[in-house]
Amino acid sequence: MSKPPDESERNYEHPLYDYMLRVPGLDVAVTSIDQLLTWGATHSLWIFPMATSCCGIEFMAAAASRVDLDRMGAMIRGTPRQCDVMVVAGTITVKMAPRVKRLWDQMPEPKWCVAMGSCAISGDFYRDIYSVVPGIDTAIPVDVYIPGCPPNPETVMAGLLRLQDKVRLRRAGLPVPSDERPEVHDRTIVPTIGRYEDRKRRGGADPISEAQLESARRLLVRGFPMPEGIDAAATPVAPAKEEPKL
Amino acid sequence: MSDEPSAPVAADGGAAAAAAPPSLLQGAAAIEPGEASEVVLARLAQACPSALARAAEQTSKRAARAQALEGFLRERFGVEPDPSNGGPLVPAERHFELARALKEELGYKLYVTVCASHWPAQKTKTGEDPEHFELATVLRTLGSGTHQACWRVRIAADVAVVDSLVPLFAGADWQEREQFDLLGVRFRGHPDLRRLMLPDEWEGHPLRKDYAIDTRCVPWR
Amino acid sequence: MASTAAVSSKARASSTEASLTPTRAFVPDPYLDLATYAAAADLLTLSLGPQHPSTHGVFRVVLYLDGELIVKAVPHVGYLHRGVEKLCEKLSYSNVTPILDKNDYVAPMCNEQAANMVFEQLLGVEVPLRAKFVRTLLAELQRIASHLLWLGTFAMDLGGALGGGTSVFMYCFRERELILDLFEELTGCRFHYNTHCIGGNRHDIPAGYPALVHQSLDLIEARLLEYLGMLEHPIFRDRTRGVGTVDAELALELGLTGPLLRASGIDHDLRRDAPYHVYDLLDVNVICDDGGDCYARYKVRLQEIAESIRLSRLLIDNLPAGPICSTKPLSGVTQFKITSGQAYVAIESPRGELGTWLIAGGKGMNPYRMKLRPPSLHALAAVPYLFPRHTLSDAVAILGSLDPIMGEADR
Repeated sequence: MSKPPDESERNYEHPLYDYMLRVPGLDVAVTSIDQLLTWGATHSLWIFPMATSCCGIEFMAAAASRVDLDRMGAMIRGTPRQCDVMVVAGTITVKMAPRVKRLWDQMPEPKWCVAMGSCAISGDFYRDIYSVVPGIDTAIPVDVYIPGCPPNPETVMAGLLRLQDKVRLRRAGLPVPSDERPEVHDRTIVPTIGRYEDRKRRGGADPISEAQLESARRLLVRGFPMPEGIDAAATPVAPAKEEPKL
Repeated sequence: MSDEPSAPVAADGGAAAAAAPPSLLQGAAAIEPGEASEVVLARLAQACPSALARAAEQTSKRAARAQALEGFLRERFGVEPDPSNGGPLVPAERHFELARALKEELGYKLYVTVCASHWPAQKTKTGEDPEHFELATVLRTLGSGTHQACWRVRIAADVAVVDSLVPLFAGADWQEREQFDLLGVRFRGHPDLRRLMLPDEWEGHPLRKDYAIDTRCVPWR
Repeated sequence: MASTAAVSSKARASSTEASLTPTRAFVPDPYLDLATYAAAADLLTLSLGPQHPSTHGVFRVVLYLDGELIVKAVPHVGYLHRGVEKLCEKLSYSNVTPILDKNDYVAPMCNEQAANMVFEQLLGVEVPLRAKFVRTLLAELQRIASHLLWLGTFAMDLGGALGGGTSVFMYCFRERELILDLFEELTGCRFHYNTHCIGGNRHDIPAGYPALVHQSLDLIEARLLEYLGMLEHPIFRDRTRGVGTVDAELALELGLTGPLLRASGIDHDLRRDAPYHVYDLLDVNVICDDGGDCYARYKVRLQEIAESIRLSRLLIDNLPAGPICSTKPLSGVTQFKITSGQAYVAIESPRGELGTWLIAGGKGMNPYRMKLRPPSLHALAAVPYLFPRHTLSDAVAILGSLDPIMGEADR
């Protein structure tokens, strides 16, 4: 999602897509089919609710009678294998994060992730706690951030509209702007593991994702060892971390 | 102000309610005045005729129970009540005995909670106070005029073992596991003393005072 | 699926070993050594959760199944352990309230009250009469909202029996929104209100508010009857009656409180038996049921909604004049200092006894140790006792009827 998609990233399209492009005279038909497919993909986002805490309740309210996400074609499904979007709603703890990662890996491509609420964005409020992951974007790439504690159902809907825009761009093969993480307080702990899409921390050709994959893999086995090749002392951490003044 | 027609509590669609600005909270004058408290209390007494009498009865019942508990503790355990600190300090070896006596003789049948706390070594006026734990337990009687019995137990840090109450109250199982997990107090006779909240591999006990709140947790911090 | 499971559960139960026959006196052994079980080799191990649509949050339970019957259940909690008690030790007394909002996120008002009452007791701060009335009103409204959410999700757990399962959920959320609107009107937030402070409330009742409350309560009361029409249904009764029975003895052993204890036939309610706020002025009808099963819990909660509606009307009609807060919460951060003392104060939250053990000490600016007594954790501790001898589909119904909130259980 960070780079403009090149030809190799088109593979998620329909298998016949490339073949159809090569058939003379089919381009007109393909354009129409493509529009139809885009319309379908945009308005049938099936959501896997990774609802852990308070935001989960507000997400339920968004899916329930008053706001009713269903009218945008967004359906809630309880299984990752049938879903396009994972909505991470709530605090993610160290004990839970490997499970989130595993469920994310079980979702078929193309897939999107929405971080709903400040806990999922940065661990805000609980960011200094020993057992809380400082933002789910350290484990999986996030496409849309919905700020709030918790976000109103209307805000959730706005986030979903933003996601639909992104889906449209991606279907059209246009560059998809990557969302910046909303600004949080200076005192927020910078995790030793990098965030996906964090431009400030990226040096060269994305050294972070390999480490993240490795760490998530390691977390699934017992024991939480530090991944090899990552020196915790050498990784950039927050400057001069004092006792947080709360 | 109060008669504004667009009161946002609309039973229909949420969009209308969301669009309407909060109509009642603007301005300092818009506060529901209320009536004089004597009027209100008199009217409530009429609406709920038995309430005050029952409350008075319960207060006296509770006072009688508190007195009985005080006498019991003084006689059998030789401790004075310490209401400002929640409850009296009881010798750790009589922890189980006290709980059983309260449950079986005085009717404190509901296990409410247990709270351990960590006290690092500190200098006091009378000398050095070594590192120790305190374990507070709360039991409760049932029904009308319920009364809670609290007592505390001091545990030396180097041993950090106290009798488990699981043989008396099955509900103590998880509560004691939690205290073991977060503070490292061990419970003698607990059938299944494992960590409850944190992963089994976790190092340290977070609620101890020497455990930093932002302790590194690989790989996230 | 649901109805066939219920039927087959009864068929299976009669044909298995005597130890698994459902009788009132039988209490399963939560520490059962599976090696001693006759058909140990054929057991199926099934991990339910931590992310499962029916676990009400991040709760995991490992089930050992003999056919469709559960032989042993081993629950795991802590997937939402956010270290709230450690965080409270770092915060000043006036800053603890917003943290506790996130604790039991279905009934934040009650959490705020539980903490502020223990601070007030140790500080010796008096709460004005008007604030006490407002607190009682908010607690009762919160109870309605919380029980409505429970009813919706419980009906969804029962699934196919109830018209796709989501119908009752949709109706319940429609009514819950009415209560949330009332709270939003008062505090500006849908939840996480931060409206209680030491010595009273931050937000006073705005003019015209009683009319809004009456309007919402009338609607909810009328629609409660609709729920009966949807739920009083043979399939619903079959799936809840005699399922997950807790007798009074076991309920006391486990420390269950609130609707769970009352559904087991024990007449105990802190609102009536240890009155706080202005409950000593009110006739609180404590609703009990002897059944002890999921159906009894459903009946108790549904009647508690009606009772809360009655109390809320009484309170909003009789609002005394006077100050709303005895301290000054809005003029900047008020610093409170408690240098010593310990206390335990409990209130009746929608889920049961919600207490706070506070140890003041150190420099006195923040709590030395704060222990919250979450009713949900006690309810979840009952799972190893309730699940065995039931089928998998009944397990989902039992878990739903316990009404656990993981934020509160794990903290």
